[in-house]
Amino acid sequence: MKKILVVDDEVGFTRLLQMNLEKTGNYSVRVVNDSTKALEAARTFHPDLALLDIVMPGMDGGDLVAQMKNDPALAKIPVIMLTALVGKNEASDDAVVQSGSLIMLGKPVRLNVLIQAIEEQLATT
Amino acid sequence: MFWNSKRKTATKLKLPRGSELYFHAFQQASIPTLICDPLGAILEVNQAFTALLGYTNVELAGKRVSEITHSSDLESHHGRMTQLISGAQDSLRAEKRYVRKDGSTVWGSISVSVAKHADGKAAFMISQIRDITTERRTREKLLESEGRLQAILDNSEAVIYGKDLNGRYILVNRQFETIFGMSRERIIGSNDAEIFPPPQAEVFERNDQLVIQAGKGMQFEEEAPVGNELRTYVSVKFPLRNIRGQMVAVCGISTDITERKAQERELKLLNEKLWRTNNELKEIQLHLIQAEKLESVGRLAAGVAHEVKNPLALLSLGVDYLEGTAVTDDPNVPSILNDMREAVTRAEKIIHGMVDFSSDRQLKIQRHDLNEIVQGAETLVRHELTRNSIEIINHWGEQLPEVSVDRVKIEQVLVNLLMNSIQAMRPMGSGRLVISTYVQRLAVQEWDAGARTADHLRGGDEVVVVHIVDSGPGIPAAILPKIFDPFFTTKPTGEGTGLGLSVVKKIVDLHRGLLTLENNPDQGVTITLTLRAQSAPLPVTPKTAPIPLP
Repeated sequence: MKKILVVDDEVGFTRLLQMNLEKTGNYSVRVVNDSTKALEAARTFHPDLALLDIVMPGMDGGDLVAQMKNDPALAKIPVIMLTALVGKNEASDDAVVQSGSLIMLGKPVRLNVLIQAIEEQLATT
Repeated sequence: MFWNSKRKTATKLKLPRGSELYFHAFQQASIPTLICDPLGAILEVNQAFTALLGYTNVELAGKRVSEITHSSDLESHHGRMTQLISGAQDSLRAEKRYVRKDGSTVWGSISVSVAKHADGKAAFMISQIRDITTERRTREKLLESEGRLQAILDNSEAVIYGKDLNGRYILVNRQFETIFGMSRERIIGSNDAEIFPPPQAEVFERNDQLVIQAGKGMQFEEEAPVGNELRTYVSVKFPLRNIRGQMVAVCGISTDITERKAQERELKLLNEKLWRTNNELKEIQLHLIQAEKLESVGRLAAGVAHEVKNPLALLSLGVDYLEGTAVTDDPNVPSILNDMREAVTRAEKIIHGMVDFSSDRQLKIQRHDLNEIVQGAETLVRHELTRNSIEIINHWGEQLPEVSVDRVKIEQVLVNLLMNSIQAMRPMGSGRLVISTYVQRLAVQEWDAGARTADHLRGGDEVVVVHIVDSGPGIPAAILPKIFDPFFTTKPTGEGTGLGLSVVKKIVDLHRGLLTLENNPDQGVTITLTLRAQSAPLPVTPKTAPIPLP
């Protein structure tokens, strides 16, 4: 059972995401809707993978990734960014994405696509 | 020898006879008469003469004619006397001035004749005088008045003239003489044909005739030769009438308006230029408004896209969850879930199209072989071609110059165009696409005139062309002008977002290329995509405002 931390301010979305992932029986999911509490949750939950939204009030997904990379305890957690921003191509030019430890997925995402990405990220670690 | 008054009185009673009769006639005649000897000594004057000059007979006796002659006329008086004495003439007429007793002047028209002795020598001279003082005064006043008038005319900048009803000049001012380089003497009595070249003379005469026929003043624009040039005048012409109201002449006042005309023309040209500039500005303003609109639409679209995608993501995951559960006996559930899935996909496509249309992302320009891009696009629609039994025939241009394009974008353009053709041919059950590529030099087209941007394709540019001919039903003429409008669609709801061709056109515009869709005379549509060949360097893509991320 892999532990997945989901940080997204969309409550309905995160609820369905959690239900879908946990139904597979392979994942244990912790949802954080307030991104300012995400780092704290990560330190206590010790996730195997983090699913982060980009556009969030308080702290956005980019900042969150940067802070995780700066924290030795969190730096190695693989990340998948989920975004409703248009033009995934543009976002993938981002330096963080180029570093390799991060996958970018656009919303809406099909469950099978998401699970495939999760498994790929978990396999690299 | 003077007859006394006593004898004169006596004559009243009986008929005078002989010389007495003549003397009486002389004395009583109403015409002032003077008799003098050849040396000018006064011999006899009649009553009319004494009345004229205010002297009595006695006062005049012994005086000489020169003594009662105005000093200015003495010379001519002596001249006349000499003429008569010498016998050169027996009589003569003249006008001269006499001085009255009170010192005033009397003008007389005189008729002088000589009485001669038997030997032919002059015996005495008889002068008959008609008082013309009033006439002379009137004439002088008239001359004075005419002189004043002429002075006014001569000092006018305008050309002033008068012609009799036969068109002969009777009056011109100095300006007329100066401008046309002719003396007054030469002009007066001549008509226009005698002093001006035929084309102008004919116009002058015709206009004069119009005034004579109308009997009132009229205004004309006339041209007259001045030096080596034709100058333009505005001529006011009006009839001159005598005291009885009869028309006797046509008078004209012509003002040179050549400079004014030139200024008017200049002004008109400037005005036209201003008008054109104004229109250009309006056009530019429209473009700016359009650009502004697109930019705000772009911002709006990106914002809307983000807000819509989140609920779509939720819906999508919801459908995923329900599909995986499927604990129901209702046979409709799978198809409902499928419809919901398709609805999410459709909504997502619309958002992509909207964002594509409204965003001006920088192109990733690289050199490419256009044949390869066309092949790539064909691969992407291969499935659709097979499914709809559409045959594809390629005529690949050999040794095409490269084109500098954003490969993905141009591929998107081609896929979009091909999909449109395929969809048009779909109802027919089968079809054919003929795709050709070639290089050519662009013919000079009408758009050259309108294209002000330096980077626009122009006649003579080397271009690479993709030519797509389908065997579909063609585009109805009524909708042909609208096919590039955003949100214009002929497809049933759900099949198209209406953004396809407007996005396609926009991408081609960004590459400074040309895209035309035309109906073929027999069947189908011909699509022509024209891109600048790399031999001509691609211009710098204009920077557009980037769309801020929401």
